[in-house]
Amino acid sequence: MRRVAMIGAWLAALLVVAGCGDASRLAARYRAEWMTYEAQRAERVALLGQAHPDSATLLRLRENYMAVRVAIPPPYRKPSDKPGGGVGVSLLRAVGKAELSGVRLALLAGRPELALEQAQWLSEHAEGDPFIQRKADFATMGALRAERRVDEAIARMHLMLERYKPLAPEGPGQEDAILSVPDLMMNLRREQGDEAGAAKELEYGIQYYKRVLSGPTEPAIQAQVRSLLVRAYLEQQNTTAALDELAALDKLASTNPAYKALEPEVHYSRARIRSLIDRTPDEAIRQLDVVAAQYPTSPFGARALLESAVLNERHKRFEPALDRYHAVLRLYPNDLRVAPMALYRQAMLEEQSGKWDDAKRSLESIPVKYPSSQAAAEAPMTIALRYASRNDKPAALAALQRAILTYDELIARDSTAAMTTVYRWNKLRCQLPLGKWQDGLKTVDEMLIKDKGHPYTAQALIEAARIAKSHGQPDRGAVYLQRYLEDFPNSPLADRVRKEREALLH
Amino acid sequence: MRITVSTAVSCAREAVQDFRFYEYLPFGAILALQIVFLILAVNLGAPWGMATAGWLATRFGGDKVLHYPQFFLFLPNLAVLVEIFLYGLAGCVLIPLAIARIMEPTDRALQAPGAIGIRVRRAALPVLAGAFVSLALLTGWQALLPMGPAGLIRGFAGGGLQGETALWITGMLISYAVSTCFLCVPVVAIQEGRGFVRSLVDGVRRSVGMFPFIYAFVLLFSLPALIALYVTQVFGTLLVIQMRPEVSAVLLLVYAILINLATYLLYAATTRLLLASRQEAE
Repeated sequence: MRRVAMIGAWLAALLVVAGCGDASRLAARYRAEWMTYEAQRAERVALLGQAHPDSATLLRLRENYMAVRVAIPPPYRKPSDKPGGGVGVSLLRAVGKAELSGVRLALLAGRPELALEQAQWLSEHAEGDPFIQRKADFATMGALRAERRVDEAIARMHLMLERYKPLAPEGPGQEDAILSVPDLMMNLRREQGDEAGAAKELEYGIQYYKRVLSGPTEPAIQAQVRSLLVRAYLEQQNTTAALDELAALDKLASTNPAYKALEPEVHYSRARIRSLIDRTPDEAIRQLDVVAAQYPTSPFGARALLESAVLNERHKRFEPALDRYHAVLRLYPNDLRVAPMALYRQAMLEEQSGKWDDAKRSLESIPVKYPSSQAAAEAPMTIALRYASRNDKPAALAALQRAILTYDELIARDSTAAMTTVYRWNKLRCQLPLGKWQDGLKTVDEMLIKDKGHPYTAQALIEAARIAKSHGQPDRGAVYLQRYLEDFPNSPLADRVRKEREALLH
Repeated sequence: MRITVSTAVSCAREAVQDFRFYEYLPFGAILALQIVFLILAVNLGAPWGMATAGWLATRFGGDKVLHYPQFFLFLPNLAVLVEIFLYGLAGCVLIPLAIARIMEPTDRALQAPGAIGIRVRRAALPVLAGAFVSLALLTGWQALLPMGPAGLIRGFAGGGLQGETALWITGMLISYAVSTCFLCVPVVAIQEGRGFVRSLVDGVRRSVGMFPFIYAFVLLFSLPALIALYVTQVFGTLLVIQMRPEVSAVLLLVYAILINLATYLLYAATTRLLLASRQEAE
């Protein structure tokens, strides 16, 4: 009897101990990790079954990740926790990991509003942990971009640049994602067709990089920021400032063996500056060829070879240009930054030299080989335009038919990719000459849902109003213009659109 | 004193055929504790699991082993430590108790009320000392193996899985040979009129004297458990990463049950062998 009482006392003591200290939070962290592991496992199994799972599957998989925050609700940290460490932070990060995976799946499923809700939840519950706050901000930014809320996404990026200092790279070839945010802002404006906005963001980025360099920074970050600054100045075509930065970068690379990896970029940038300064391209081409030959494994080797080809082509040196495009495709067939453009330009040169069959073959292969590239969006239209310019109407119409099929395939392949807006816009451009106005209006309706706020959608709405009016549907036309006024209230065309809408209604 | 193979075979057969739960119970207690530990270990998601098995894991592996699924990579090591503790410390009382119960029908003195308790208390210390010496030698061997012959054995077996298997088999054969040299210590210690030193010295002497038979018993009874241990130790990482991490705990449970039964049968057979040799000598 005494023994039984003793065991009972021990068990009671154990239960008391279990409720105290960190055991319960450690257990919660373990549960969070287990649930995340199970969710990842389910995702792996689903991906094995389907290479591209549909959105319903993705949302179902997302539920597994969502369950983590439901099972382990906040708060995760205690006031007594040490700042920046302890069980509370690791528990928060374990839950945060699951949330971020949920955000990723929501974005993949084409449901950015769900991703945004999750990212904002994580941001609200970051409990002062800069690591999670940072991740939550990146996730919010991604969700806003996917929702085409460009201004809000860029505002968030500005906030992030103010809030977070760049972190030193953990290994060679790595870069803190915060450093690429200025470039992202510029590209986002450019995707919207807002060149003035892009220039403004470029300038903002330059000021940001300068601000980083003016404070105490580690040499590794300094080297990365200087190279980004050189690229930004080159984008701005500010050769003097680019040269100054390049000299500083060159000095850093030559004095510190750890930054020898910067050498290809230094030489490449110098050649690019030459191409902007010199009247004749000879020296720039020579320097670019040297970079391509000396650093064939560096991404700047590939870029130098392409740049050299473009310079040759720009100065009507078609043979050497074609040789270099061939070389890019032979040496870097999987480099998506250079290969699609090289193939497209090669086709253009082949067409100019009378080898239309070769050119057509090259153009037709682009959407197959490089489906998520600007070149893939251009190639099908280029074929049709070429026939049209030769007044070969039947061939042009057949090419337009084929182009529509190609765009449909490209959209189906990755319905959430940034390029799908361009594909839909080009599809509309193909449908109209073919007289498929009803299909065209369907494409515009699709753009209204999936490409809300995009400049192409603005153009498509005006085009749709015109088509509807010309086919005896003025009311439908007025609806398109009304959507234009709602989605683009600050457009310089707004007044004219308003008047046209009034005219359609009366 | 000469033992024949047929005597040894009879002892082994009798150990299996005469299985009595009363004799096995002390070993059952060890197994129960091991099962409790495994239940706690697979429930780290509950505060009571974390406060017990989790606490133990942190003492040996730090916070890094308290994560899922990394914990299941560490669990075999933790289970070994628990096994050493249970068989070494709790075993210094429970093993002599089981042996006393096996010997009870043939030893009149043991049938007297309270006699088993007295003998077990007396045997505990030499058995613990024997376990310590055995553990020290095994630790030395485990430390020596990777530094010395490991490369040679792996190379000889042709590397890869074959090499790892050859190394594991060699390691186990030698570890079991070392343990065999101390196996008779509890059997001798439980007998009447044995002091601390005599129990230890006689135990080792008897173990060495009957080494081939006892070693054969060890290999025979441990074989099923060894297969489970081989899978856990050689394919542990693969099981955790490719299959479910919890498979590791299931295999450890299977191993714990098999090795527990094997240890009981081993002591039952060795005790009978020792008694047979004494009878022959008389």
